[in-house]
Amino acid sequence: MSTPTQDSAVYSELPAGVKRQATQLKLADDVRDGSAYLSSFLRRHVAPRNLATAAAANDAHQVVLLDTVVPKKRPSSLQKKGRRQLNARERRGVDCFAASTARQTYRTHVPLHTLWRGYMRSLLQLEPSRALAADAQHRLLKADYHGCVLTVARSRCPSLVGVAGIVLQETRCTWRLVTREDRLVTVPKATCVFTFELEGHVVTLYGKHFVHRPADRCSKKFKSKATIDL
Amino acid sequence: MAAPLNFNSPKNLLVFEQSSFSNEKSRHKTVIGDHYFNCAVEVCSPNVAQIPTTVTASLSPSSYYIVRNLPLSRLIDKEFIEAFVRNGAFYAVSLNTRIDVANSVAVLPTGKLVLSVDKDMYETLGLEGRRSIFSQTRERKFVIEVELTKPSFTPGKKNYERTKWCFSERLNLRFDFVFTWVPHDKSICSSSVGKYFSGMGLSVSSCRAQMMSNTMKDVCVPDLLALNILENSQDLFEWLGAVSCYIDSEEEASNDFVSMYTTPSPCNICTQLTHAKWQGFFTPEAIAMVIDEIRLYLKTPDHPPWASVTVHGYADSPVSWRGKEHGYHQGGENIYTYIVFPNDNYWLYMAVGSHDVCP
Repeated sequence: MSTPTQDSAVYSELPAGVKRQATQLKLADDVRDGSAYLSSFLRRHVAPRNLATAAAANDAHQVVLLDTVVPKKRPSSLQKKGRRQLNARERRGVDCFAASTARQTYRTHVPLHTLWRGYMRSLLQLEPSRALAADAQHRLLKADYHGCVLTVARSRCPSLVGVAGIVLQETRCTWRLVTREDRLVTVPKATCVFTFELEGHVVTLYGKHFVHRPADRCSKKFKSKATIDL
Repeated sequence: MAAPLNFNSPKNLLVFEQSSFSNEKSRHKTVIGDHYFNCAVEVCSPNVAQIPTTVTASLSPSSYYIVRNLPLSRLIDKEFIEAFVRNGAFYAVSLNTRIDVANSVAVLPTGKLVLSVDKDMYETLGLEGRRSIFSQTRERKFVIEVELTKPSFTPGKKNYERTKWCFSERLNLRFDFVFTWVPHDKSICSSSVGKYFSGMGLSVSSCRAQMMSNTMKDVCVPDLLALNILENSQDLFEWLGAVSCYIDSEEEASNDFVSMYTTPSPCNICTQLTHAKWQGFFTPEAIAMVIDEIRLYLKTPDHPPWASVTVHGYADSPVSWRGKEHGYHQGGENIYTYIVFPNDNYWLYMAVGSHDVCP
């Protein structure tokens, strides 16, 4: 903070005309003397308690704030933790991962399917006239199916039989497919048997084996299931 | 200690009614008309040397057809429905399909296609149905019903196309059928359905009812006029069963090791008792005609005191009376018996097994 220079307008002498007519203008002597004015100003505007501490601080060469300071609210323990996360119900409410039902067309997802075919072909090392490799089952269990054209071959709910479409989304218990009629269908995994076709092979997937979160499925250690009854 | 074994006899039901054909509230017409699939008819009468020819004439010529490997998709062809299902009573039931272990199919004259399928078939076929009421706990069976004569069941409609797809592309279901057709228009020959199927290259054979007749001499016959029927109705039904099985129920035979059965009393010796049995596929119309002929016969001079007509339903048919669900369980019986008297009164027995609803 810079010290006020003597030549600034506030500290400058009153004009000579004003000084000459000071009595007519009823200007007190102490107005002309800054320190007297200041002390009277402080007495009028600052609480006597603060003024006493200020005087004490002045003696101890300390800086003191003369305003009445409102202490800031201390942060609560919840806010103290840092970034708060949504709980499960709030996350469901936000629904940020739900594929929107409107304007999902089969045609727009065909490139995704083409991409998936390439991925699956390289994953299984498929050749048209050869049988699937021995470890294909494990790879199929851990594979990503977004873009696959799945068909429901068998189901506990007969009206789902024959539903076919490109996988748009996978959840723990369902697959969401876009059908050729541009309908978004949610098919439960556990009660259905699915098939897909690739390079002349028709692969059957028992939905019951796929009831895991897709992120967990790729790193999970699988145990063989005793029955494949729906 | 071992748990006590439960040897309860299987539940079955015997319904007894007595009424008169002339009573306008008598329901004999619906009992006959609502029992669609009949595989055998028995006629029994005392004091006659042989079954009257009028009765024989009304049953013997009734021919039926057997078609092999008929695809179910043929039964839902619009052409077939319009020509036969709508213009007559088409009776068809799948042949050699045990209802408790296999899938079985029937077409009711009301224009309903009924499939009784097991769990695997139900899950693969893709047609909506409902759980069978007799398999709630153990093996799972399902009943699928398709209304053929509904106006909305027509090509281009969603339900029709789905059914067609399920029967032809999904699973190419084929069954052997025994069928017969009674056209509304009497000028049309009932063999046209057989012609229609053989025109598709299917093997269709025409069959006739087989008759077996037996006359027993000097046998003990219950005196129905002296019998208190309300107390002894079960005994009489049992005796009719014994006659139909040719069980020797003489007094001296009751000491026999094989059978200790005796005729219920009061009984008297008849010079002869005639029993005839036809096997084949009989429509309710044919049965109604037999009952009418028996009624006429009992009004002729030197008529017998009574005559009985027993009708056996198909044990493996998916339906019994009024299209209600039917199962096999222990015997799959669905039988009814009319005992007809000259004064137009009748006694009616209806017997069903455990997997059947009250007729």
